[in-house]
Amino acid sequence: MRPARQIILAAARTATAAERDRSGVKPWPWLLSLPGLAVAVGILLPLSYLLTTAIQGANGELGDILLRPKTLQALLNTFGLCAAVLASTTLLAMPAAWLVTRSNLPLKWAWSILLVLPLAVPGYLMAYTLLSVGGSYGVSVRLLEIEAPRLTGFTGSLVSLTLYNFPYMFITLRSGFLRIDPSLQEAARCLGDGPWRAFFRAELPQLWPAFLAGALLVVLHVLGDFGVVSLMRFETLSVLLYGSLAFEQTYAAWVAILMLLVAGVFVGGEVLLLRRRRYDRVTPGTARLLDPAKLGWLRWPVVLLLIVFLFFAVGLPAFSSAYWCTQPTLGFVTRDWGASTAASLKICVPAAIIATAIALTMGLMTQRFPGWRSRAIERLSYAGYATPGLALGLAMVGVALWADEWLVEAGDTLIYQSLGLVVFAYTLHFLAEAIGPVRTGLLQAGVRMEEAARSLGRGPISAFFAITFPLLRNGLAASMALVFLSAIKELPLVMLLRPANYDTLAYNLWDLSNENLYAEAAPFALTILGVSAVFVGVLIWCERQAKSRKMQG
Amino acid sequence: MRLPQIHPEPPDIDGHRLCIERLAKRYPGAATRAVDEVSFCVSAGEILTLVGPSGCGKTTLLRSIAGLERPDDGYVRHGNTLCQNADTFLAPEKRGIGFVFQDYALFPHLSVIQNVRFGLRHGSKKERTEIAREAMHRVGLHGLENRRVQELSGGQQQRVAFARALAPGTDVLLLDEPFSNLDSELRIGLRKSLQELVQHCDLGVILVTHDQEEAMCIADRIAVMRDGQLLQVGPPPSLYSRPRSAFVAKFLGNSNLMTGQAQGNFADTPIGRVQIDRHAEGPVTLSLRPEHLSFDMQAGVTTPATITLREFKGHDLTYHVRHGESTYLIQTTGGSLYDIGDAVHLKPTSAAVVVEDDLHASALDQTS
Repeated sequence: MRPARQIILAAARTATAAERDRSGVKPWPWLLSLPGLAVAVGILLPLSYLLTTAIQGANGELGDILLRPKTLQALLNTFGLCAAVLASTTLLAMPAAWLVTRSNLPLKWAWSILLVLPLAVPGYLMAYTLLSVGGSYGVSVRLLEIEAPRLTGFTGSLVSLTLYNFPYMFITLRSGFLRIDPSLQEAARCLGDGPWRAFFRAELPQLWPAFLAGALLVVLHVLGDFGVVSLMRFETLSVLLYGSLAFEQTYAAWVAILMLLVAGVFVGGEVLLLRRRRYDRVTPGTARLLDPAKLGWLRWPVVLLLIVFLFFAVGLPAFSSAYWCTQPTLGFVTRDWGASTAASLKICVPAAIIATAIALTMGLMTQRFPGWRSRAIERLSYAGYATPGLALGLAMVGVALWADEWLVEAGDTLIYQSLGLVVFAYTLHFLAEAIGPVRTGLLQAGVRMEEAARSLGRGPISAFFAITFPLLRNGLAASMALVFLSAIKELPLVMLLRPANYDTLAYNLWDLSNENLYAEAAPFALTILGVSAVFVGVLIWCERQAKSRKMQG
Repeated sequence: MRLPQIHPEPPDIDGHRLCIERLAKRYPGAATRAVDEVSFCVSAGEILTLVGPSGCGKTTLLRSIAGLERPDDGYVRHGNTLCQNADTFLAPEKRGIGFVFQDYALFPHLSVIQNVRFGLRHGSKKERTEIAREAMHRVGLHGLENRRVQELSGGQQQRVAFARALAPGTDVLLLDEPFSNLDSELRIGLRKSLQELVQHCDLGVILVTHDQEEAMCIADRIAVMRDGQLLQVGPPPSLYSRPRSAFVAKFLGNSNLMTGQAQGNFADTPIGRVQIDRHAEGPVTLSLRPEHLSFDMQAGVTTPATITLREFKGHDLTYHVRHGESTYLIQTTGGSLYDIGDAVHLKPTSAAVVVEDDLHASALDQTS
């Protein structure tokens, strides 16, 4: 499998190099780059509008606004939570990734899949679970007559966000482990290092890029999270922003800018830390498989720990939601399950399709017309992902209201609170997730076969749809599944942008949990859980398909 | 210049740096042994090359000696360190055996000097750097200390790998196809520096290669392996001129193999009566090198053969000659030129070597 993969990657690399040589003669594809340009404008315009209104609103009293004790406290809380979640996900994901790649743990492939499942449990659903299980009215008292602690505040946020973000770290570290050349460890052993010393000196440093990639995802998610911290009543920047929205728009705008700055610091930090060194393998020799480390009797406690972890991360949310579904509701709040499912789908399905289509045009653009323009457009789509949801939402609200002033009569709205705006915002926010699989597919397909079709008399569009497009099917499916999965779980964007009384699954779950109406919230939790689980399954299937295709190649 | 050494006096009890005896390794689930009771020794200042077709177990053997694989049985001794016997298995880090990997396995997160210093643990950083620098000079690397390994050429990476393995003062070096990733010009240069290095530092070296030409030109002794077994060990000239079996004859250079009926010092073969290298009776298999076969100007006792192909190689010329069912190779260094289709008579110019027929035996094994 490895040699085949290397050949594919090498072929992809030479293909792009060859394309780079020729790119000078090709005219810039304006039509192809239109969607990408629209995305760039869609991100830059709201953010610059946010900045200008914030500066105008500040009236020179910026210091007073930003240096309030509660701003600093929220900033501190945000950083603290990011650091704590990062530490705990690393401590959990590092051993887990090692176990499924390097040890003789029984059923390693099954664990690799199971440990990704927490992706199906968004943070606020985990928070809802923790809040509704513990305490004197919680599930544990009702069923077992044991009062489990009711985690709130920092601890509750930490636990919820750790369990939710674990898979991101796990996936990147796992592929990091798989990429390490096993002969490095052997070389260290031959130079006098014992197994542990060899691991720490020769192998662990190779994980640094994977760790940084995972770490960036985790801290951006924690920074962007609103559902967990609001339910857990832990005052981070996003809680502060949402809280001040109704009374102090300028202050909210500045908090949003602060969040953007923090995101910028995270992204910049990753770039800086990564740039210092290159870690790719020196020579592309064929890597042999290492003998897996023997766990011996330790394997059973390890399996037990993994089961306990999965119980808390996946089993408990599913069980407690199911339990609350059977409980009587108080009756004075009714939310329509069908309407809210439809509301979610009406946003998520178009967002997934549009984002994937844009990702395809951008992938083609970067593959076939490489250069600073393609790079800039692609980077901006990543900026859309890194921008915290609330900040992006707030910026969108501002620009929508401003545009409505021009387009329709005062008091009326066209863009603000329209479904189109929500879908557009979702597309911008999750576009980056769609790019990865599409680009991998394009690189694997290469351009040679399409050129062969051209030489056999097909036009460019006909050749693309006859040759490359069928090869991309898995990548496109994976892209759509990724965006859909994130969109169905998305909360902050929909909170700020939704049309009046437009209640999605995520919004209902959050709103009802926020009022401690756990039985009422349960159907929405179960639906999110079920749909997400299906899409995590789709993603795993797509990956397996891609892998088996690579093996055949 | 001083090379750092762990042992001030090489502890050669019987003159050998490294000895292995009846080393055997079978992979779980495999029907046959990857390494099947292999024994040999390597002395100081000696290069032993292990050759054989791919999959013959030579890399497994090398990795077993280093302790990277765990053999099922056998005995390994390095100097006076017992590395393995029936109830001992010493971890690779405790063996003090240097290993150069086929892909070099340089640590991509470390600079050149950090790579070379990796195996040094005693003394201050300054002392270790000094020792590492000496090892780098040994292998002809100058002024690359702070470069990143990715920036080096293939040949330079190779030298870094050598320096890293030598720096801890090892006196035995195992090389797994060390030149396979390099172009031919670089290979020749590196082979030469390896030979010099072995002489200077009094190293014992085992080098694995599948390239028989490389094996012959660099080795003090060659060990030919097939199917996990060691077929023959000896200096290249003696292996070439006196192969023990048809496989060895074929693997080290070209050979005309034929069957014949031996009577004393002669044998009757399809190309006529030839002299053989030892006394024998009855059916035998003979090996005759192409340079030991030539054209007979007079018509021989047998029917004439036909030239089917001519390969001109500059200093010599190889003819493919069809005689009956078989094709023979004849290598000449000049003389009259024959054309394709010419009828010729064959004449051995040297005694044919009686070899064990292990080629047909294995062909039978495969069909059964």
